[in-house]
Amino acid sequence: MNENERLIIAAFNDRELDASQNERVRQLIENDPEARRYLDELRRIDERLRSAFAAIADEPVPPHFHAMLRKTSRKRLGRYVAPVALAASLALVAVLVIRQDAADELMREQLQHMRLEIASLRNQTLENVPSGAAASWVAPASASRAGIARAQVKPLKTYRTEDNRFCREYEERVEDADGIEVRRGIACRTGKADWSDLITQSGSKGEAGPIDRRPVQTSF
Amino acid sequence: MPADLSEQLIDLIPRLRRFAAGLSGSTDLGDELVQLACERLLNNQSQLRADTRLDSWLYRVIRNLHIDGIRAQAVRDRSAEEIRRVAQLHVVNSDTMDNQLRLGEVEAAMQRLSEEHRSALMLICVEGMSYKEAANVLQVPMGTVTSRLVRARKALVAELDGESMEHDQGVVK
Repeated sequence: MNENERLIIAAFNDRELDASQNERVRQLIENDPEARRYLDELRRIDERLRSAFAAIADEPVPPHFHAMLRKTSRKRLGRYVAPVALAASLALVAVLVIRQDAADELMREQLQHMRLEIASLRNQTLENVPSGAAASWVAPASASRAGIARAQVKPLKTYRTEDNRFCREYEERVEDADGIEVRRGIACRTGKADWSDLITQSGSKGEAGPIDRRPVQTSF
Repeated sequence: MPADLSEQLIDLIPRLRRFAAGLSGSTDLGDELVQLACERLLNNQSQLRADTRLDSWLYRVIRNLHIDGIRAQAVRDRSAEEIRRVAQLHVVNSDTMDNQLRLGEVEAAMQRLSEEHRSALMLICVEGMSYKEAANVLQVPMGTVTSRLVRARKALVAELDGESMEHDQGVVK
């Protein structure tokens, strides 16, 4: 069987041929056991592919897609393309104009509380969860005003230092009203369920973010 | 946003999610790609021509985002490698194995193929596109799609069966 025959058998299998070409392929597979085997193999592999990916297309559309389509009347700033500097200066302006009233105070407390929850999730996950698996935390409904909806921490790899201490690379996703923030880091174990970031790197959705070198709290 | 555009998008999302999950190897990552592509569409509605096919446009953007992601990941992997070297960290267990186990056999095999092979298989064998539609999404000539597909199926069979689909010595180029 040559390449042209393979191409035409594949095209036959994919319903790309006209009637006379179809006839030519039918004769080919009738007379050539190898061509027949090739067609059977194509059918078998296509069936495996289709069934492997069948389930996801039958799932209902996840709610966040509906939410996204509802709120698109207000145009979002290009969250994933806006320069970090712009975001930082906007945040600074926001901080300056926010009045320090009680509502803000409460919100900050909730936010602080949730940051602690996420830190605890990170420590527990790095301590107990194998690489590749993830652990999640979902904010209680009462805390939704602060914007954080849920967080997920997934250890990616485990390392050992020269002096036999453990460090783990992980990915952390924090979902809030604006989207998902993805952060990657390497943390080293400083005690039981106590992990300190050696390095972190934030990037949103496939962008390589700048490396944020934090003070190294563990010595190597 | 016109209501019908929103409805069209909702109708397309199950297929887009399947395609993106197949490309990226995970439903979560795939969903992020789909969401980014939809946002890009909604922010660029004015640039869409009347004859633009919404599904082709979205498949194309999802794939481009996926390729951008692969490049960014390569940069991250390189910088992580550098950190490990400087900090003298040694990998004691690899997540590659358990990641592969969590995926189904076919999904895992797909992830071992090249992106070009994976996207051709997803568009034609899973999404049921014609060669012409797939060529439009992939932005390559139709002849490229047909030969790429032959190689992609062969590569997938080899990954799944551990043997080549070839029964003769012919080289598929």
